Amino acid sequence: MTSGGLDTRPKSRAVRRREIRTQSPCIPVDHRAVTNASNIGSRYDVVIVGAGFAGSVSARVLAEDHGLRVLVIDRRPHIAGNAYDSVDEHGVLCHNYGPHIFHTNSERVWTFLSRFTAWRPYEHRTLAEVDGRFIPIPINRTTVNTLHGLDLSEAEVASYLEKLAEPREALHTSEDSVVSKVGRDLYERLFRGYTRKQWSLDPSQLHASVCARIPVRTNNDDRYFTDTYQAMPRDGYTEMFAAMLDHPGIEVQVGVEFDELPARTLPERLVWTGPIDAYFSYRLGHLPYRSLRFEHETRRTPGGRLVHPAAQINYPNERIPYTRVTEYRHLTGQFAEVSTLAYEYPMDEGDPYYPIPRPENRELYHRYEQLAGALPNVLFVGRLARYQYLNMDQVVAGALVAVERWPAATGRTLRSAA
Amino acid sequence: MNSGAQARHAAVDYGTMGSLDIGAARPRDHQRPDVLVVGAGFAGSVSARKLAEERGLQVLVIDRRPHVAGNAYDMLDENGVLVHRYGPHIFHTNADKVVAFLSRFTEWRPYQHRVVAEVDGRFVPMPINRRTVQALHGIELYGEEETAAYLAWVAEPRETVRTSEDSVVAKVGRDLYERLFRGYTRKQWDLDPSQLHASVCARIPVRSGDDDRYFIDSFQKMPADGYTVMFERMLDHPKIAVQTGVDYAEVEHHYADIPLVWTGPIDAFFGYRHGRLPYRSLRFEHECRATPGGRLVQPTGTVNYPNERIPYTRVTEYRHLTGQIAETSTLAYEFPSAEGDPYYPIPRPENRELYHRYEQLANARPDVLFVGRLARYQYLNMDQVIAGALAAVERWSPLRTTADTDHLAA
Repeated sequence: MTSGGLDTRPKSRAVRRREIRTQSPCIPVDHRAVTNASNIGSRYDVVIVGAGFAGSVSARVLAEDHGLRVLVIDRRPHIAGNAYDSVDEHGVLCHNYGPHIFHTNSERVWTFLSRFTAWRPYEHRTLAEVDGRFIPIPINRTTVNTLHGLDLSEAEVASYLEKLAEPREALHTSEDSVVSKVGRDLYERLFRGYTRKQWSLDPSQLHASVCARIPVRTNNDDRYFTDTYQAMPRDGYTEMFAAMLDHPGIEVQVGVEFDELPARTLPERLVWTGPIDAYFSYRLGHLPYRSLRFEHETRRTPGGRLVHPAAQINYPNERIPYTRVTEYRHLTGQFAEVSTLAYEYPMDEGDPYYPIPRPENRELYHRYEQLAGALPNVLFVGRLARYQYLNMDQVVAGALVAVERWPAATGRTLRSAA
Repeated sequence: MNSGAQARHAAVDYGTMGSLDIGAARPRDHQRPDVLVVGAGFAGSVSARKLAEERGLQVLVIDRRPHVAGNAYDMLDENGVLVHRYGPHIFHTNADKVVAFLSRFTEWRPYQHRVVAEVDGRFVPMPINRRTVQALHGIELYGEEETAAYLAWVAEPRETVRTSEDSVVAKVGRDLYERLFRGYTRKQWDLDPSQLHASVCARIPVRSGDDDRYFIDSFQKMPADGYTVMFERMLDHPKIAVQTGVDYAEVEHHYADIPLVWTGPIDAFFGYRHGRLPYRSLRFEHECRATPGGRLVQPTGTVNYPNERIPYTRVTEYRHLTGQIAETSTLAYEFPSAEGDPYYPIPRPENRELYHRYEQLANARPDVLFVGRLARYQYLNMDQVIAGALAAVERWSPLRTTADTDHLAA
């Protein structure tokens, strides 16, 4: 971790990266000090499980605003959760758990994070490979004109899409929601295969809301997001997290499982950002997740050129086993003579990434939620604990609000009062 | 293809291509063949026509498949789109003799094949030309000279060029080799270019200009009514009888005493007695797209996918090739596979050696003419097969052999 606050000196990026790599991004404390401690409950007021967005934001607020003594643990050997970035063996800054592109409309989230990082403006753009052509995603005027061999104006595209659209009486599934907007041809070529790969489910088996999240535009805007704030942490996510966790009231322990902590000596207050079913030892059954596997490939890029014309290339074709390829240097702005591409393979097995949006899963979650409701001293926050797809800014906002509303967060007197 | 050609196609009942058959696969004394031709593809059909027309021989052509035209067979699919059943066949040649011969059986539709390859989010022309290099290396190259100089600069000269890796890296350097050749070759052959003879990849040219045609032959045209119709006309001769759906093994004993044109795998003819010659095969997955107004789906006839993680090597949109106008279009995804019909002899020295042992057996059989890609165990383009068959039949004198020596019972 850097010595606190933002390092605004005009250092070259490469030099700064090397520092990250050689320094541990978190406080080096002997694991045994925590796992063998008999006095965790007296040393800390709250234990936070998970050092990702939900956990780190909660930690900062609880330490800073509520004056609590916080222990943050993470089973992984690093902070920052899935947003963790690190320099690979070629010196390229990569997102180890897949591309994380920050965007938000929330002033509050932006202001909060801006305390821990400077920003690099970045607008994400995505192309999709369809039948020998690359077209912008989300669908815009160019997409329609290219795939249907037309030259329509904005106004014409709108009425053309209306003509293609197949109106549905009721929008139950994701197939309904897309076909009723753009018709069958664009649905099949752009959505069906991608969704099947991503979820291992046909759009007709997924709730309408899943694909409805993806906008359809009739103008030339080819930005992936239209949020007010679109920027990347200038020095990477890991450094932003390190700054967030750099507070006298916060101690961080990575590579530690919650189960390793001596249960009887824990403080009563707990922030849980892991899977909610894991907290309850899966007593009602497992909540299913979709996972991802990444294959990295490095290309030589003399002169610092970029490999891809856009940061992200989607491959909707179901015969291609990966869904997309991201070139990290587009995102990070790093200059280097090599560039790393990440091929993304959706998987059944592996770390939990995406809650699977099926009604029966939601129902199972609600049963766990009821169990959680009976535990006022445990705060469940984040994508895994809420079993919900959330963008980074939503997790941050959710954690800020949740901590604010957590009765147990007030003061250090809880223990004696209990 | 014009609408007339389309109508003609529609009139052909492809379900009963055996309509050319003379009947059951049994000899009839009144038209006892003088020569048996095994295989109704280019090698067999060209040989049959020559033998019937110029030697006046009664020819029986058999094919194990239920149709003529071999791998060049084309047909209308369930959507009325003319497709090449065994993968895209693009005709091109520099041989006037071949053009003259085929032109007797078909009219032509000019077609110049173009291919783009998907590489890291871009489509670039294949074979490599100036624009390919520009796009992949993000530089401006003005003219042929500058491109040639740049390629010479990225090339890694090799003392000796033994393998296909050597031959490509020596021409265009490692980056273009890895991004355009390595994955594609591994998929196509299930062998790394470093395991393949230099000649395999050396066939692919590198251009410093802007020519983006896949072939540069003087004659680049497609049979106006398709290949199958061309074959039907070639085989439509009073002295030629055709039986499809007939395996040689079933009828062999009927024709043991007459000369034979063998266009099947040479090792099969000799009962695989020295072992099997390995082949690479292909599997096709067809996909249909709605194309209102007759639009085309792909920007070029074929799109290559060199990336090794993508299981297919290329996708061909047949309507580019055939010129057919239709409200649907069929794409063929091509998956190389180890199992299936023999397509490509695998260009490894040990295979060539094994072939030569079979070739020696073949040399001792003047009564049998071995012709075509499978019988010669060699990658040959269509025009090469035709030229080879024309020349081979001219040199072959099976009748004198059979009549004079009377050794065939042996």
